[in-house]
Amino acid sequence: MATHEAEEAGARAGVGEVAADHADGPARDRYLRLLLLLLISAAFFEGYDGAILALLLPNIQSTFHVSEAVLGITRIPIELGLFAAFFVARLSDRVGRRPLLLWSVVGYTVFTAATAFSWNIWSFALCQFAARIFLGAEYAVGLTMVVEEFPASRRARALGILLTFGATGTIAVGVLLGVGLQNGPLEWRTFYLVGLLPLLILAFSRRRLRETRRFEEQRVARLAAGPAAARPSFLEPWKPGTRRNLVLVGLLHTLRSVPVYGTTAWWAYFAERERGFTSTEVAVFIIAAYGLGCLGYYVCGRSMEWFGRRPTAVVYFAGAITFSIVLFQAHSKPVSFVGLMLAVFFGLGMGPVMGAFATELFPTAIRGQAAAWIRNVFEIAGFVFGPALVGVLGDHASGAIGNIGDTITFLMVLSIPVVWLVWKYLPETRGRELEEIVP
Amino acid sequence: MSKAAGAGPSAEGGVGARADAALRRSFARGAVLCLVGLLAAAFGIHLLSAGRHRPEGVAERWLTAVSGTTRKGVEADARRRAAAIGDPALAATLLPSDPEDKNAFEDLEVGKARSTGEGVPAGGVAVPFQLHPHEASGVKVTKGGRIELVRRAGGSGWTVVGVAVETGEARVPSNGYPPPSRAPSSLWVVAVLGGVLLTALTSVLVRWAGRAEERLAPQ
Repeated sequence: MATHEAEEAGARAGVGEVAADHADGPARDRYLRLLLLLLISAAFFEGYDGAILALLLPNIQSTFHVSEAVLGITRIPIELGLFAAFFVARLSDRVGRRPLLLWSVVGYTVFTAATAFSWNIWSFALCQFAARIFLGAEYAVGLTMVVEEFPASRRARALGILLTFGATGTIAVGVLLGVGLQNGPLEWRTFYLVGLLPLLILAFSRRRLRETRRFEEQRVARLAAGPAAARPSFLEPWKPGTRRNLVLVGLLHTLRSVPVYGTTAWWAYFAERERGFTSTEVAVFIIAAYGLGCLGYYVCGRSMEWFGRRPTAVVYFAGAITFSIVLFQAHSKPVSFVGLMLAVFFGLGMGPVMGAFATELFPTAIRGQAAAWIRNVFEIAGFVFGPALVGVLGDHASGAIGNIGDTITFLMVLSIPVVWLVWKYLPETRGRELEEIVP
Repeated sequence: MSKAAGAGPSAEGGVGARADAALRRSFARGAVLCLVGLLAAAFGIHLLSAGRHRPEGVAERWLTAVSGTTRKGVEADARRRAAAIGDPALAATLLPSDPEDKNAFEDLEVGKARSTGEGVPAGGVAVPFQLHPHEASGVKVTKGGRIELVRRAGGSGWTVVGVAVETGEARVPSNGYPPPSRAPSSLWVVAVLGGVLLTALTSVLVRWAGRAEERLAPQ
């Protein structure tokens, strides 16, 4: 009892210091800018690390002399790392956002660099599995920190900026491929060694990163509730108070990610095999159209502030569906270019508004867990099954549809009524502090 | 700011423990239902695809495998995959003189098969193709022609029996010719109806999940 009282007294004293540290003013604004800068660097390398595998897989296959069948099998444990990230991401509600972010960055940097030293395809798969656990956790915690620290008037814009830089990490890999980094003495391994940079950034900046104010207050509240107060259980977000929002936002993430990630995974193949693009045209289209399309993330963030989350989500869902259908049905290359740019703009660019719904609609005590369920279970299910579904149905030899373009169009038409779900069920949270949204 | 207890910790005592146990049971049932649903969907897709062996897709796989026979590190696997469909040597006229240990073809495309006309083997089909071999010189060369296939013994699957390079425009989709396969019109009706059904199901699930307590009303 005496120990608990001492802890509580210490926590309350700590809250006074926290309140002073987090007080609004120029110092707070400087800290928020620093926080965003730190999270941007993490987001950039998250996009970078994720893109290496997608773009360099043929080179990796050549180095390890593996068959197509084995290559396909190794993708399974690698992608399962994003599911496993759920168990790490949910810890942020217990240990705090700051330590989890720092350890996630350390984790994915170490395992990304270790990938450069892999000696066969299985050691490669193991390192990538581990890296993806920490990448997945870092993404969820980063979103949570932005939502909890930024005031209502700037939260959406910060989310937009954060996710824009995640996308630029992907483009950076494309640019490095274009300048021929893979042709150096270390070949594809060089790309993974570049992934050590986040550790350097972290080494200089970790002392200035603080725990979120809302988590600190929640920690005090838990201590004040006494030793009998249980830590959030594994199924805490599924309890009646938050279950509806979890199911709603989770299913919307899945319904979005199945067609969208099916599109991103298969566009290059479709462009070559069903539209006759040369490999050079595919590369130019990806860098140019994708690069322009990534502005969609930033515009989404601003749009959330100006018009609100619901109208933004409706417009982005409708735009993603429309321009994906245009992209996969058009035969003209100029039309395809515009289609690709706008499909990326709306389809991937809706990340900020989806991230807002995945975090703003849940109380601080379980925000990390809810974000982990939505991102690492619901959304990643679509990330994994979407491309698989397109590949099976659209296979030119054995697929039921036998055509990638028509398969993706089918999935997009299937998701048209989802726009109604967004309008009908999602609440508007523009301009509202987190405590007003979920008291 | 946030309330003392928030929405987080479980309630103390027997009532809370029973509620947690009931939630775990419900969650387990839901997870099993989802798994059953996924397996049913996978089985349904398998049934839809069963027995399909489009010659265009087989020809494309053969060309893709042949392309890999010049790539460093995967030559043996590529040769084996190509040989399972047809003799890789048949593609000798398509290969570049110096692929620089990369894929033989930078890109390739096939068109709709035809069962009649010049070059069609007896009882078989001819699949038009167009590709760009990878040349160390960087010179872009376009090669087009037909892949000749016959049915395997037993009736299922196809075997490549010939390759002919032709002059003139290849009959592939990028040149305005029909694609190997298109979705039937009825599929779009299925897509619309399926979307409505999916949305209705999601709506039911959301309402069910919220029946205990509405945390937030829609604005």
